[in-house]
Amino acid sequence: MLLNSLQVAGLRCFRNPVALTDFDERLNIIFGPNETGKSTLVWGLILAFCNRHDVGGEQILAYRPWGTDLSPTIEVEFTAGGKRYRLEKGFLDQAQCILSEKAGDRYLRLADGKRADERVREFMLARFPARGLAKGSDWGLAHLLWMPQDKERFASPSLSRHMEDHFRQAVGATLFTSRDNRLLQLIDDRYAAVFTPKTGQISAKSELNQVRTQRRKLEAELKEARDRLENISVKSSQLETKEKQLYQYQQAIQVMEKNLTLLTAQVETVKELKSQITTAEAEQKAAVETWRLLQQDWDQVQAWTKKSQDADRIMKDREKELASIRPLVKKLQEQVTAKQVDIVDLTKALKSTNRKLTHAYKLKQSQDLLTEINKIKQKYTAAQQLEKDILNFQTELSQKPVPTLEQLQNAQQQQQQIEIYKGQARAQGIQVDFRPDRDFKITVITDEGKEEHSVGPKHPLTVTATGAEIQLEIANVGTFTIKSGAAELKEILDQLSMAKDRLAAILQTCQVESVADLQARYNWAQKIQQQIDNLKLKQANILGDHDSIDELKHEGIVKNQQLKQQCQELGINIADLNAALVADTAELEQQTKDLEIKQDKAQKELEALRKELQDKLDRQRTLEQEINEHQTLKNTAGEELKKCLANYRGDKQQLEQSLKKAQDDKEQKTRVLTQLKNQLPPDADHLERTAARQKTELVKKQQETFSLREEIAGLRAEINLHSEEGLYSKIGELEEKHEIVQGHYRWLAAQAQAIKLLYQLAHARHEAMLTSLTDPIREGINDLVRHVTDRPNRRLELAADLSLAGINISNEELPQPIDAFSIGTQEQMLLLTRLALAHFLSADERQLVVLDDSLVNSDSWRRQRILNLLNKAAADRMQLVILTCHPDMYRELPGKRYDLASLM
Amino acid sequence: MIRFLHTADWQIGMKARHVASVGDKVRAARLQTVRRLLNAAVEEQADFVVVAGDTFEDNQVDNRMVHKLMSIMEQCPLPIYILPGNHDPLTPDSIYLRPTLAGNLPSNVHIFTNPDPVEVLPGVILLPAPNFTKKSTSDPTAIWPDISSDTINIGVAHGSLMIEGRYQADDFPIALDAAERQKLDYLALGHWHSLFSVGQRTYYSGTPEPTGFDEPGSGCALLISIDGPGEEPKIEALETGTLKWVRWEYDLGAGIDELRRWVKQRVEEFGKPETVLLRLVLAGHLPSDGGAQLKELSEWLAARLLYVDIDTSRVLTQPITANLLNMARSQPFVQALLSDLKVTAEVLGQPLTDLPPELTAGTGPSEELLNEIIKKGFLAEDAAQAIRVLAGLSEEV
Repeated sequence: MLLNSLQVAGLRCFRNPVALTDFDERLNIIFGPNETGKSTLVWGLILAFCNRHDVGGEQILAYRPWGTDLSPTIEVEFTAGGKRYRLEKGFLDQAQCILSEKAGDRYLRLADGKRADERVREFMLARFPARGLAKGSDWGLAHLLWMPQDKERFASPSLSRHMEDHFRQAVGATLFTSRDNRLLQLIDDRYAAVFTPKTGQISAKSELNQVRTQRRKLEAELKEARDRLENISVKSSQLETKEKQLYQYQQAIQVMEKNLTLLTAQVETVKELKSQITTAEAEQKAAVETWRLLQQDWDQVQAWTKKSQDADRIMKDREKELASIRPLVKKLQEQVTAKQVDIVDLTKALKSTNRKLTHAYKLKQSQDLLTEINKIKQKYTAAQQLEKDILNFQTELSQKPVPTLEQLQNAQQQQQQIEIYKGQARAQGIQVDFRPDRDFKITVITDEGKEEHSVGPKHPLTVTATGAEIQLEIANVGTFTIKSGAAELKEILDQLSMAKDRLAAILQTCQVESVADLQARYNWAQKIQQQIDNLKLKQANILGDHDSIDELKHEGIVKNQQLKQQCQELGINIADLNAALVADTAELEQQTKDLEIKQDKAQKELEALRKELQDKLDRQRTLEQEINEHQTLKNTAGEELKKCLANYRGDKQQLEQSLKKAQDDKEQKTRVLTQLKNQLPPDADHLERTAARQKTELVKKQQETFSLREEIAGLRAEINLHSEEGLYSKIGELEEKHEIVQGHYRWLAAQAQAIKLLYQLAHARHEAMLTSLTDPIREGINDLVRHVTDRPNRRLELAADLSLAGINISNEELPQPIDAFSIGTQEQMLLLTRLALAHFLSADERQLVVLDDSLVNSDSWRRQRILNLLNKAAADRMQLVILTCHPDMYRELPGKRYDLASLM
Repeated sequence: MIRFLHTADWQIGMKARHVASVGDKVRAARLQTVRRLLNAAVEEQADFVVVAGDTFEDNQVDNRMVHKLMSIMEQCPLPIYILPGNHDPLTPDSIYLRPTLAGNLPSNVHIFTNPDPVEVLPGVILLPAPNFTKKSTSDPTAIWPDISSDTINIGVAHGSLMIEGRYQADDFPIALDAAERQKLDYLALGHWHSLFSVGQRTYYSGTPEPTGFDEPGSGCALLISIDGPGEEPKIEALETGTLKWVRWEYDLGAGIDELRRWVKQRVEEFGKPETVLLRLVLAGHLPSDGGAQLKELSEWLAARLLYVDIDTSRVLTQPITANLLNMARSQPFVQALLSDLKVTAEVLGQPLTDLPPELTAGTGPSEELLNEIIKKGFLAEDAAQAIRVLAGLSEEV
């Protein structure tokens, strides 16, 4: 559809009619300042094409010019499908709609009123709402191509089913018919009847849910009833078990009672037998006791008799042995006495020999001591002589001061230093080279003193002074002074002077004149000291272990005293000592040894004899003692025997006869007892306890039986009580109800599943078809985007319903929301989207596309590209109407221009 | 000569989950049958009535039912001898030991609580074999003592005759020659619900009121006449059933219209259609629009019969309808959706064979969506059912 002319009146800022005629079929630029009504013209078009003429409500009132009762009227001439039409539309007080078609030079009315509204709506593929003004999504083509390009339009789904059809036809995509829409809607309705579309859960008010709830309720009731019935079944089982148990108990009680009767009879028999046994045991016990006492007496008589006989026999044996021992004792005593005499003689001889040997030893010792004293005397004399020599050398050394090595080295060092200073002074000092033409005496006075020189033509005076000045004294002529001009000389001379002082001090200490003297003194002292050391070494060798001569001397005195004492002991003078004869000590020692051996042997023999004697004496005493003891025992036995037989008139035979009788009696009683015991059953002791235990068990079992009867009665009562409840019938009814509900539920659930599956598949298919429909449009838009932005990776992303999803910067990333981009980019994207959509929508015929100041924020480079696109689009298949307050921006574009301000 | 009524397996208080919607009526009908049966005994001048076990469905049957039955039996002038069976055995919780029954037992009703022979009439001995448990591998008739052949001896037992393939070892097996062995004039058996006999003296009377659709030969009682000891008994079956349990099988090969005609014709043959419970088992292929026709037939039957169950588990129904096919031809969306459902069914393990290949050649849903469908636990039947739903919706578009 393209616009030929537009006239509005009574519409917002247009109180009076304003007409824009003869629109160019390609490009039209309507310009004017702000608030001159550029956008109002678009709203006028939308009012005319997308709303009923008789629309009411507050919204249409807002289109009146402010503060007036004027009614909006719009007259439009347009071309659609190759035909030219005129639409005359008025609202509110001038409500009317007339659609005319141009035939020749005039218009022929095609329709008016609602029919005309409907015809116009069809041109726009729009929808009329039930009441009020149509919303943007109802506007059809106008929504996509005319309305101001704002983000809201792209954020919400924009494709009505009519539009989809239109697009589909435009792009040649698979057809999605209105019948398909209705089918889809039916599927949705059927789905919504069962499921909540948002969550996909079964909806609470759905029949499926209600039946499911009913089924669950029935199942719960059924479970409760079955549980209760099961409980009764359990009780029945318990009852059956208890009854079986009761029967077993009753049987057991019968058996137990029978056993107990038998057992009680046995117990009575055993009791009687036990009584007899008790009596027999008492009799047997008395007989045993009688026998025991007699046996005891008999045993004692036998024992004492034996003891007396034994004592007598032993005494005889001992006396015989004693008689044999006594002569032996006497003989041994004699041998001991003889041996003791021998030992006394040997001891005397040994003492004599020892005395001789001791004398010989002492004499020899004294002679040795004397020899030693003489050696000490010789050493003492030699050491004294050496001491004297050392003293002499030390006296010589002490007469002259001797320099230390350090002093000597210091002096030598000072001497060297002086020489160095002198050299330095000489270098800085005064040199005189004087050759007079005649001989005369001249005295040269330097720091070192006066020196007289004879000078003449053959004896030139050559002086090298180290001082600061030299005085030349010429007799009778006078003295003249030659001074050095060197500045450092004084310092050198001061150092030299100090060195000389230090050297002089050392030399003075050692009382020598020069360093050479000091060296000679030092060497001399070293030599003397060496000799002293040699003498001391010799002396030390003589003294040996002694530390001093006095110590050596003291040792000599001590040893001399010892010798004197030894000589005194020996009764000999020292002078005679060496002449005295010394006995042969070896011979004496051998004699002593032999005597000692003999003595030891005699001593051992004596000891042996003494021991043997002692043994015999001991045995003799023991025998005598034993004889006495056994005599006493024999006496006692006799006494005891008498006592034992006192009750039997002292007759042992009478005792023996009584004992035999008691023995027979005891054996007879024991036999009787054994016989009685043998009659007792093996478990006689347990029989009574067994009977008691069985009786207890019987009572217990009877009590248990009683309890069991009570339990059975209780269980029966419970079961009977339950029978009154009608639970079995109730379960039957519930099961039947459940069966019906379950069948219904299964059918509904199967239906629901089928609907759910159908819903998912149908929507997925619808989505896929929409995608196939919109893909070419996407590609168209992105061709434009790439052309304008010159960025090949940049893509505008559209949803299946062509709503704007964002801009993709690179293939890998998710699309960025359009808000993330600059205002300029946003307006470019929206404009390009409109152009792309218009491109497809104008496939069959030229379409009117309105652009309302769409490039205000774009840079000149992109704007230029877009202007080129607009120019091309207008040339190809679109009628562009550009509304702007910046007409210069579009000056390059051809087409017709309308100055809105001049038209008002 | 004596004459008595042999019946068994009244199963009073029976649960009827398999015909849940008419459970109450089924239970009520059993009492009504007992009443009719006892009246028949009186009319036929029977001397007494023998119930050979399973008078009650269970020992737990509640007192309301017990009272109702007692009331009916009380009104009967004949002695009624009741044998506890495997459903109501003489366990400690037996219904026969319940004070409600034991304490209010009508004077004409006798319960066999032990196997001792009972002389019910001079020269007429009943040898009962009550069940004391729900299961047993012992022959209940083996405990009977030897008895004089000068009397008319009638054994009463509850169990399974030991016929190969027809009994289980723990189901109270009864020797086939039990009657001969015990020199019985007649052996009245209970447990099998259909009329059955071995020789001339051993009979199952069957249940007087069928309990399900698979009990041919049930719904009767036996009137027994014996002239004297050793004489061959004369057997007469009395029809007693209140409700008619019918099971029909039909192959849909001839089309659903033919089915409708066939069914209607047969229903018209029922004397009292309101007492009929019908299970119609269908087989073969059902056209896609056959569901609606079947529904219509079901409603027609339900209006006439007591209960209707049309079993289509053996029917292969073509899910797609002509209308849906037309839509698929003209609407790519529908065609693609059908392809999606077909592929989904294949993936879920049950391909849909009745879909025209040219209309379901699409690639199907995305792999991601298929995985999601599998993950959500959809079944192949859901896909087939979805096509049926789609077919239904196609009618509304």
